[in-house]
Amino acid sequence: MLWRFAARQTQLRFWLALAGALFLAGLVVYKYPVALERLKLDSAPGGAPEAQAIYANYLWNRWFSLLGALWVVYAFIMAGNGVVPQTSCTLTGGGAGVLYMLSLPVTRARLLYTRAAVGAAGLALLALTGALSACAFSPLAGQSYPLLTAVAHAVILAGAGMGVYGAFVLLAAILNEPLFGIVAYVLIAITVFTGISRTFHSSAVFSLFDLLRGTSYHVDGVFPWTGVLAGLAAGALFIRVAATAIEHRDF
Amino acid sequence: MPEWAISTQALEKVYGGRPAVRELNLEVPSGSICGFLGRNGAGKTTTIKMLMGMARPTAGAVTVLGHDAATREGGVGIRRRTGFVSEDKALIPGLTARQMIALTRALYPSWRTDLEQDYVRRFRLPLDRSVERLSKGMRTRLALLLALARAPELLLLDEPTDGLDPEGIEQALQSIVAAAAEAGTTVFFSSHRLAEVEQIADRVAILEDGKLVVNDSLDELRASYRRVHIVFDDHAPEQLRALAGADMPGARSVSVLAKSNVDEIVLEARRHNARAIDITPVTLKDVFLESVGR
Repeated sequence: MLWRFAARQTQLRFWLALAGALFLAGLVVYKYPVALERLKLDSAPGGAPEAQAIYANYLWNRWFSLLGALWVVYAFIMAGNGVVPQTSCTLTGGGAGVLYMLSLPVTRARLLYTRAAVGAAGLALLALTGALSACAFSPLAGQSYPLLTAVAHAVILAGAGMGVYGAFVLLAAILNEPLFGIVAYVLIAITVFTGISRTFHSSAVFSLFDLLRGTSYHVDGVFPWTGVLAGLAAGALFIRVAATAIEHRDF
Repeated sequence: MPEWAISTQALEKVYGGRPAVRELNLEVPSGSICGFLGRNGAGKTTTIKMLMGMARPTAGAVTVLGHDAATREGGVGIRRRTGFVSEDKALIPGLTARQMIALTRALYPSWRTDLEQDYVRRFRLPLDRSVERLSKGMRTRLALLLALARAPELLLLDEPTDGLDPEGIEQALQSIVAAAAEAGTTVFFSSHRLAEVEQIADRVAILEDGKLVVNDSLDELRASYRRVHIVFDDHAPEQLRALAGADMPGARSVSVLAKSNVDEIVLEARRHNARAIDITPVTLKDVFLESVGR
């Protein structure tokens, strides 16, 4: 019952994020012919395999990178949306009704696990739908995109990203609302900044952003098992620590 | 059912070095209706949160319905058997009144659908309106329904009539009294409306600056306190003013709230040839103002 209401409470944000993702995916695919025109100035595609590779690279650079950033922002919103549940926060809209939730005959840990699981499910769905939309919209640009690649990308994004989500849940559990917002924004900024740095300088510095957009998979064809498993483990650990922390908080 | 629905021993709560509740020894008999009074910031809400297991005591013990409220399991046990209305009456955003009822019903096996339907009708609740769009009065009514329809053994209500119009206040008070009379529910409610406390409570606890200054039955309070009004031809004698705790040099009359020393004050007044001595019963307001030092 608790999970149904957690889902109902977050459904508007989920549908908005999904609609936004689908719109952006459609826009990126729609703009492909324009981008191709620009590419032709330097090098025209040869055969079909080369055209396919150019399209895949375009999608990875434009859409999957954007999806990663969108996913991190949505993870922040979900973590702040009463997962804990938090005090009032104008940004996330979560928090009102904290006392009511805490007055229910369930432990705080159960409340947190339920809501964290609902948030994680939403994030996994967003990753999958966002990635599959690349396949769905590609015919609009006269292209195709492999289903398996899209699914693999969704697994990378959702799996590795669980570490980020878990970190946001933990921050929401131990910080008060303004501090949570500030720290979370800094983390998002670092993630995006390291991603930009990695894009322009091929340094070996670890980039969470690169992990989330599946650089090793899309560029080198290596599925980042370590990163995905580490993300899942870190996410579970962070949420477990958050459950312990929330038991000792006063509301 | 235990003799005491609520029992605390030397209960303390400190927030950031500032004591919110100090050395609280409170006992509320099962089946009673206890009004919990105090100025803003006296520590009433903090006390109620500790009773619900929502805030951890800094020191002391708190037992509610036989459960230790300071433990996780005890807190769950208390919340399963208690109806709660919070001070802010905040419910879960994004849900309609109907969904709030469904959520709460599913978590309480003792839920009584007949009571739910009765309160929906009596409170004229718009079930399909989201809780954000409910007026404060409607939110209060819905919060009361959610607390009462679970057929609790204890009602912990933090200003349960806040935001209600006179008709709503009367409905709320009648519902609370009905729960106590029909099911033997213990009621512990905070309020700033002394008239409503006098109307339904049989006990009163008064908190001042985190400390319990009164915890007695309303009848005993009324019986033990008296207002003594003494008029002299000349100014009131200093000894009497000291005895009565009044400090108005030169005044011809003394009016004082006396608890245990009524006879002593009257004797002293007669000894000084008081022209008139008037002893009248007190109201809860008199006791409250005296207790909080005003």
